[in-house]
Amino acid sequence: MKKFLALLLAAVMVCALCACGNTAATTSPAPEATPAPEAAPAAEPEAAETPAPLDYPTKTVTIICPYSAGGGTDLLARAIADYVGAKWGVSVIVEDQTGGGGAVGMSACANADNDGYTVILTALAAATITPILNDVGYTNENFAPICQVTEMVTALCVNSSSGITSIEELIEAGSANPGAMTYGTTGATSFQNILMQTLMEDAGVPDAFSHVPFDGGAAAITATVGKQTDIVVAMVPDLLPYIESGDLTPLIVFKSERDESLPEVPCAGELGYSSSTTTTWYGFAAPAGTPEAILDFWSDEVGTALADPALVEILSNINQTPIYKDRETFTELYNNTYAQNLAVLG
Amino acid sequence: MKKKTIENIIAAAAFLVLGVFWYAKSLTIKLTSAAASLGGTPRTIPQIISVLLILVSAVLIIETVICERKERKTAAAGSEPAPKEPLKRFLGVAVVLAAAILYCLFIDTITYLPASIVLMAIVAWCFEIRKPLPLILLTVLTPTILYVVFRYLLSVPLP
Amino acid sequence: MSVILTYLSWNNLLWNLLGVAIGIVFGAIPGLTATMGVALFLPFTFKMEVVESFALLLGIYCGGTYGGSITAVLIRTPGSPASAATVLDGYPMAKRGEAGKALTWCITASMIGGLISCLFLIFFSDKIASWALSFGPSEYFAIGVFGLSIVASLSGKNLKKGILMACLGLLVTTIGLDPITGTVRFTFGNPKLSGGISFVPVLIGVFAISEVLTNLEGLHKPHAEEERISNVSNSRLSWAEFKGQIVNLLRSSLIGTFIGIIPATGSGIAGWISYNTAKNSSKDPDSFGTGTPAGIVASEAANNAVTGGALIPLLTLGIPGDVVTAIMLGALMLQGLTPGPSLFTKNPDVIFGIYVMLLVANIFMYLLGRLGVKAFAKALEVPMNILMSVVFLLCMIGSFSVANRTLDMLFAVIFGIIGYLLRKLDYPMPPLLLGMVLGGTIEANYRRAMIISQGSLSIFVTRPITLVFLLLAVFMCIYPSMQKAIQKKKAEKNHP
Repeated sequence: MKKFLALLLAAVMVCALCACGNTAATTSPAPEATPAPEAAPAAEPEAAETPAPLDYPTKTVTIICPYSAGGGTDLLARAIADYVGAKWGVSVIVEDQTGGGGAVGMSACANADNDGYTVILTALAAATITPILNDVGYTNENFAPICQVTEMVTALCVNSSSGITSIEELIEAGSANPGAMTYGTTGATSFQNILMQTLMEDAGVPDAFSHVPFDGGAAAITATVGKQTDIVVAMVPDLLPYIESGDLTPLIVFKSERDESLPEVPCAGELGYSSSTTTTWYGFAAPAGTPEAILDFWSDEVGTALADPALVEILSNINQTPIYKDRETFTELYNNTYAQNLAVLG
Repeated sequence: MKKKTIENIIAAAAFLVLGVFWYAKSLTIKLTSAAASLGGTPRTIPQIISVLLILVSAVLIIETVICERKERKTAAAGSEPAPKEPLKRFLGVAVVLAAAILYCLFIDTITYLPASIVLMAIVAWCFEIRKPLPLILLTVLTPTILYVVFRYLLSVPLP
Repeated sequence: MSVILTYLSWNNLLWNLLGVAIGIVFGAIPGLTATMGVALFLPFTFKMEVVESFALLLGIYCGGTYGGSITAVLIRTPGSPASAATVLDGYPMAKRGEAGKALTWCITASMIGGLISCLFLIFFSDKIASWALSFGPSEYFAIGVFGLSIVASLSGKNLKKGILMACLGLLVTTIGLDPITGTVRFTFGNPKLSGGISFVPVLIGVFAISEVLTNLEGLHKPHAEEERISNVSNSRLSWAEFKGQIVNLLRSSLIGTFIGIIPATGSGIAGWISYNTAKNSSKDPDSFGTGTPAGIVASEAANNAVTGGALIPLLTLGIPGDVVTAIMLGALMLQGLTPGPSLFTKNPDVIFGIYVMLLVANIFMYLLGRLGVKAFAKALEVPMNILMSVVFLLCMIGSFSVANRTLDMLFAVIFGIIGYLLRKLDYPMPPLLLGMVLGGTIEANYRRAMIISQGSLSIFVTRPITLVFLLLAVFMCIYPSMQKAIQKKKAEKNHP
């Protein structure tokens, strides 16, 4: 009996400590909740069909993040989770389920209950590239897209000490010695790789550079900064710190117009590489069959959140700008991208 | 042959079979045309490892048999056989394992609390906790306390 | 001096202490790790001041890295992968009745490792920083191979069985998507396997569940339990004992710091490499595995030394030294700070704040750890059957919590069975773990290096760091046989 009490005492002490921590921490997010009077009632354009107010959320909501903790997507998810959680008064947690190019997280969501309490913050690659290249157990039909949160632009950089200052010089160097120079990307089935391959084909030098896939943007960028690889094709938010410090030199931005954060860098559109101008999107999706009312609620709430200056500031700290697309637009985009990629890669 | 020897051979053979199986499976891995084959294909490393597995386990089997033969030759004629151990002790292990596997398979349908209480009950019973009061306390309190600690204090979700 | 005092505000100290406590809990519970703790509490830091947030996060980091050793010693289950090597000597020591002492060794070694790496961070960051950049795929491959070569000396007499276990571990890592082409491998049609098998459930299965099963089987054996009276009153370390481990402490801390500095390698491998080095450098290598303090010290000093080391490339270059610092990178960025050389010039106050908070975290960790030793060791006085039952459930839940999948629980059970059965036949478990930890790195980086070198193997001999580690690996493989040969010669000399 004595030992049991000792165990219990230890457990209680731990509990007390943790409880203090939790209550202390949860009081601080409170002031952040911005007044949003139009929250739930205005969330449903089809309010006429659902006379009762939406009874959601009433318990913990889970946002799955298919990429690793500390990365851009994970931070984005946590920032939004923190914001809406404070506003809705329920716990909104982020669950990292990494691996498989996003497949693990996506299939976890596809198989989850479609009661609206599990959603995923997914990326173009995980949603529309991985399932086509591999049999991972889901397609676009397993998901009900909610809304787009942001877009990220891809850029190509070289190490500043290489002496190469323009994309033309790079292509020349590549064609002189095909395969000798290497480019790193964030993953084997990454969107960045497809962009680069399209670029090389359009430039007429499909084998100029060898692809070295890494495990995430950070590893790929570090490799080029450390001169292990010659080129890195990664997302602008991840590249910016190194561009600003002068370690990397950007040569081209894969966009149809110039990007505001890199105004002096030529874009693929103006250089004639029109097939390499797609930006990669990040958005929320829920398992197929989730009630429409909940999907709309989410979409509107996220839209409001992304318009709030406080959240925008946090996002800009991680070099992300919200680019919101509502449910209808995003659903179309999601399915269109899937169909396009299916035609090209399938 | 001695019991231990048989067990050793079975274990090594299991590894051998694993190696063969893995090698065979590796031959079905899709090879995309644009695979960067400079450093080998997706099949290369699995194949190397499975071959190593096959070789080493084969050597181990042969060694074990030779060792056993040598020992039999040099052992005194009157060496006592190993004392027979009651098989009853394995019953508890088997029961717990079966319970654990069922727990994993069915916890999503039964939800955490009921499943854990049942599992605790089975495990505690096998560990010979038979007196009713400690048994009930243990099987009910443990899952509950763990539930509280995980979900509310550490905000880690449970099944 | 007064500058330092400004960082020691009540707020910072409280958050730090809380972080250490939380970290210890996360580290101790199998299935929960320091990484998870830091990730979970990251959102709390959004609204905090930078130094405050790091007070919390660094506390969790240090506490979490130490916490794993508690369960490693008490129930043969490392609470987190960092303390896996601590089991080898920590648990036997506890079984002998010296649980208190073992725990004291753990906390002492952890603190010293942490403090030494902190000193490195404070005084040598800039000089070491650029070194981290010279690690490319071929270097990571070489380090991986070096790590694997430890199997040779860890397997003792059972070299072939050790190799088989290592191969098993390596094979397990081939399940999932191929790192270079993204092709699906060995998933047997199950999409849930496309992410591979997680390491922590296997760790729990191999150590904890197999231990529970072994105990269950041995329930009828007489006097198996009475020997485990924990000698709590004797948990202090004498100066003589401490003196004997000073070299070990220093060396292990250095190893841990440097592994922390190398990006993407962390406490998971530091403990093993340090343990192995200690074993090979010791006058009595066979005592390792029977409960010698040297083993505990080597493992725990190294794994906590990773904390300071990993912060070096993070702060100086913006490159995280391990998984936890990767999350801290996010924390910095969310506060609008960009780590790198600019951080030192623009926000030196933040840098100093982080230094101070890391020092404080190690001190709090020591205090809480020492305080807890008596309570923790008392846990061993709980009757075995109750303890094991609770541990079993805890293991199941722990393996679930890693990635919120019931599949992981199944893997823990499966590997528990494998561990239980193979232990009876003297198959060593550490090689399995090493194979799993290193398999992914070895394969992916081998192929990346080959792409960079355009198919030529010369890359592995022309790059100095790579060559050094590969040679070390070869050395590690032949060292045990060399040692035996030398000992034999010595014995022959003494008995002509």
